[in-house]
Amino acid sequence: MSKASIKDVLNVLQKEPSFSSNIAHYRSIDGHEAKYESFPKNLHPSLIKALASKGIFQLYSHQREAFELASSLNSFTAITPTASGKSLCYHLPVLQSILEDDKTRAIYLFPTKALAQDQLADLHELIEASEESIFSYTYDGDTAPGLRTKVRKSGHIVLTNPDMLHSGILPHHTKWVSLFENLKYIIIDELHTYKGVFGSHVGHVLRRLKRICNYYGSDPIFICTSATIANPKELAESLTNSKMDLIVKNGAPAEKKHFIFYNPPVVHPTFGIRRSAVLEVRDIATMLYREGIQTIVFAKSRVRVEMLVTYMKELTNKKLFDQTIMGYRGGYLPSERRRIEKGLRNGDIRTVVSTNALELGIDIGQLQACIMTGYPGNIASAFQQAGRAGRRQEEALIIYVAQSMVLDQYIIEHPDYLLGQSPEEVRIHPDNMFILMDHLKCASFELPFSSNETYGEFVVQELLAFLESEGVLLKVSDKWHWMTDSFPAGEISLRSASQENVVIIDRTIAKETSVIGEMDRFSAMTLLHEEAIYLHQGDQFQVEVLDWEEKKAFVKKVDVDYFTDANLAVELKVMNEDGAMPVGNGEASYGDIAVLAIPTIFKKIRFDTHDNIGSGKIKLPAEELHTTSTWLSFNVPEKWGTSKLTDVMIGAAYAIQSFIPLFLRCDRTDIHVVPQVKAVHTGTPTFYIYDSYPGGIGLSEKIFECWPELLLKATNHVSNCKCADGCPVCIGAQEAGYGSKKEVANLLATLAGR
Amino acid sequence: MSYEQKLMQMKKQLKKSSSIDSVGLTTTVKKPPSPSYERRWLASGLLKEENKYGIVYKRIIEYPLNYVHGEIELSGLKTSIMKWHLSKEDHPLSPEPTKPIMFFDTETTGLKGTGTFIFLMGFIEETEKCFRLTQYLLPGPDHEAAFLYATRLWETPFTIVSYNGKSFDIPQVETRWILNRKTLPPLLTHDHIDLLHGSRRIWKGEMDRFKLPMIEQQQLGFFREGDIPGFMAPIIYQDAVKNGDPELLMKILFHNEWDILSLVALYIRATNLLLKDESGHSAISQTNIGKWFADLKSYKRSKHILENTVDKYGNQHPITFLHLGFIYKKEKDFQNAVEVFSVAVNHLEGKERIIAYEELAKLYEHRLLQLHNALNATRNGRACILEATELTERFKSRSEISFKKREMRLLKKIFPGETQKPT
Repeated sequence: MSKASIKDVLNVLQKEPSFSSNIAHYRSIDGHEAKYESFPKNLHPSLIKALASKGIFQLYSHQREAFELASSLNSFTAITPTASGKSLCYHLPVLQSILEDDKTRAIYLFPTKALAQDQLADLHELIEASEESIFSYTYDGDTAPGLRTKVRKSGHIVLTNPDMLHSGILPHHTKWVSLFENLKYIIIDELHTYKGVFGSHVGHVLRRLKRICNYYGSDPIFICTSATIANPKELAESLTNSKMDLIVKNGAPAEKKHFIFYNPPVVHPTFGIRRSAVLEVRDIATMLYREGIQTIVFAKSRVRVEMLVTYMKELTNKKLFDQTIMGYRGGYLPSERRRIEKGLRNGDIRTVVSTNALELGIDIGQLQACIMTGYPGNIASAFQQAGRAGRRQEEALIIYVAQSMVLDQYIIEHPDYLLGQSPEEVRIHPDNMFILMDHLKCASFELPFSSNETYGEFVVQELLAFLESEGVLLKVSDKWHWMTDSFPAGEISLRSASQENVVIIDRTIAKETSVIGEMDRFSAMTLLHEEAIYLHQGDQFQVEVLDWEEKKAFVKKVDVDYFTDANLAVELKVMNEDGAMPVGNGEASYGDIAVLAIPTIFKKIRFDTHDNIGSGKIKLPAEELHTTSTWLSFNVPEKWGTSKLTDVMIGAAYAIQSFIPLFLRCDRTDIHVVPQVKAVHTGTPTFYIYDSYPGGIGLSEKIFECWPELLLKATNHVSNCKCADGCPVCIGAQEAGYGSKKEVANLLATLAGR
Repeated sequence: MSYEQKLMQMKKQLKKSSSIDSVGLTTTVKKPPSPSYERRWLASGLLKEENKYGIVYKRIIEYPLNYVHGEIELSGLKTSIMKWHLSKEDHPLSPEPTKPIMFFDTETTGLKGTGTFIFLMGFIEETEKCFRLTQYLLPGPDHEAAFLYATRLWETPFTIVSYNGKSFDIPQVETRWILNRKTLPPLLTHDHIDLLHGSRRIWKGEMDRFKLPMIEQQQLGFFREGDIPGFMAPIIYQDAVKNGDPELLMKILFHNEWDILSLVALYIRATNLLLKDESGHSAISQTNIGKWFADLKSYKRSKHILENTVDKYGNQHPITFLHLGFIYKKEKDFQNAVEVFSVAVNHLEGKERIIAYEELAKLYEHRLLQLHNALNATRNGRACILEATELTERFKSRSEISFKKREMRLLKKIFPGETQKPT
């Protein structure tokens, strides 16, 4: 097999007409040299020995900077692209401190259990090479009961996750005295993953952790590492409620990166449908495989990974025991994952197809090329994925293959949005009253508040009085004591998912039921009601039973020629308006709303013809949600009837909702856009945008500040879309010949003030 | 107004402080005042004790030395302790002679975590003239240090006898102590006898639940009347400190009193069963006891008990023979071992039967050198694996492999030189 260089392959690709005709753009980013610093003078000899055994005789500049900041007891956040040696940014100062004082303790916090277990191996290797006896353990649901006491008493470094800290460690802090008395470092890896509701919860868990540390007389510093995001310092400070220094200059070398933006050919011009991205990716990956290029392919779901692996393996099915093509995703056994990681490092595996499991810090060495199946949803992730390509001394090839979806196509139209170094903001909202109250309960359980105590940045005496009136606390002798028999951490899930979301269970095969997804309660009312056809990765499932109490939907695979469409009566009530400003010829406001949603009926609609072939009632209770919202009201354009206005507003809402992830790093379901032709509050047509989570998590507030920009982006995108009447890429599927694309674009433009 | 609505309203008033928060590190100990409801509580029969940390309420009851609880006379305690000393057994129920025995039980406001208070600790000790119950009641959460201090758990090393104290009461006490460690002298490490553990060893297979009331009814002949179940305790205490009414709380004190009296009776009863052949117990419990002594390496006593069981009950509880077989084997009394294992295989089922066949096969092959008998036992054992339904896969495959190997080996020994077909 010939081993071509990236340059050769680029030439081949550009000459191949079936490929080059679909290249929408080509860009390249120049590399830069490594920037080294010598070891710090006081670096412990055992650590020097350990590093030497890994072939390290000097540090990257950011690693040295991290060491210095930690030594002077400053909390800091380091921006660390993929494969820049980020773990040494915290391992070195932590191990140095332990070697200087054996009592020193550190907590490493990873977003998931699996990641903590992965990182333990890395840490063990370093400790072993130092030939010192330093104890590091993971502490999570898998930790054997017999080992737990040992971890609590003598673990120098405890690797865990926020959920375990929340319900397994903090409420039992008296069992961890030696940890809390001597805690010097709290490491937060993958900082950028702490976003939205989960991030807000974790922010509170850290405030509780600090409170417990202070009680035991320790004052640890935070070391965070993060992918490139717009606001790392702000995020880290709001997550930890501590002042942060920022390390932005990265000393790791980078090689030249070639980006190809590839758009599959249009196969259905009216609807703007393009050839399946998965098939395109298969063909491109095959080409690279034949050229002998080591490639990582990213797909969005486990099913897609399996599909691609199956396709690709056809290349090797004539060879026995060939393992040059592998899948990699969550759900594989740890031993299997270790084997794949090793195969990637030593080059035995030439193509790996992965979900975003490999975005996070798992060491697989560097590959030559990366193919992205669609836009991963945010720039930070895209860069993490692209970062997997680029070996030392060799250029890297990144091929982005767009799907027929709004953001995917937007990136194809605006490649510089992706490469323009302006990644999204990651926001959390610890001010959310519901989240705050949940954790105030946990904190009260852990240690009674005194009558002059604050909690994090919050003045909480009035809130504590409220909890007393609810019968949770009892105030005596200037302290608020927990006085109820519940265990609050057990009732509060950091990933509100498990509490609020409906779990979707596939029971096509009776004995092999499996969870295939989850959905927020609001969406579930219209998408998971009984008899609904639920689409999952292209497969049709019928909802057989929806257990609303238990939040479970049982589905079965079906093959039918219709889909279902449910009507949801949504009542929005503005509770108070906190701010308003003119936008275009309308007015944008911001405040609290109550959303009352009542599902009514559903229709069965035949594919292609869109005939209504049946309907039924949905029997579900109304759901009420109190949250924050921003709304934009405007006057009815002249000569527009209600029905036309309705259609146009629905199309515009679709476009607006699709673009929100460009401004905020959130999932599409974190936010709802509801058009109302005549809103009760304003009496005029109004678009409501509200946070899906009770109390709001700061998303609408942020959107309130950028309505004009949002509307402008949506306008341009809709009017530049290549379809005729509107398509899923711009304003949602339209009936041929009746689409209201032009009107939607006009409306958006007017609202944007153009 | 719903909880949601209230919170949305409070959002308006949410204030933030720029100053860095500090957890109440105030070490100046100010004695907390008596609770407003003190008079009502004392009126229901509680005593007040003051110490340097605050106040604690007490209830003291004395019982004559010959007091009878259920069917058990408490005077048996002295004899029980003496019997343990005379037996020289190193047994979990045998107390260290120098440390006074305290029967101990707590009531708490929850099940786990640092937000759970202990609000009641009861102790029974035997004095020269009587049995004395002392219950310490937490006047309110602010008097915790005084409450803990009053128990003298920091002063005298005791042998504590409890029911599930090893995993519940004692860790709770440790947690509370750590939360007050800045003020209190350190908690001592006490010896500990856990009667839940002991009860399980003795009555396993005979009783299916080991809640204390079950033990009382079935083993102590004690039936509670007007008892408030223990799981109500948290709510009752919380109500009592919130509204000051001690009426129901006193019932929790009675509940705790019964619990501890039962501990004394249970200790006497268990000692009698373990150290002398008390009439009225069954083949199952007697076998359990024999097995327990075997596990503690007290083989002589174990053999004695198991032989007595066989004499008295015959093959009523055939597993006795299996345990006895292991002891004979240990004592190299192979003839007797084969004899009892042979009885065992005829009466046992499932896993135990397979084990007995395996032991038989081993003894025949290596000790008695009766290869044909060994082969028979091996083949019978293999057949049992096929018949038995409720075996774990692990046990199944492990025994299957070991029987197979043995069979091959035996065949080779019996027919030397012939090549064996795999069976």
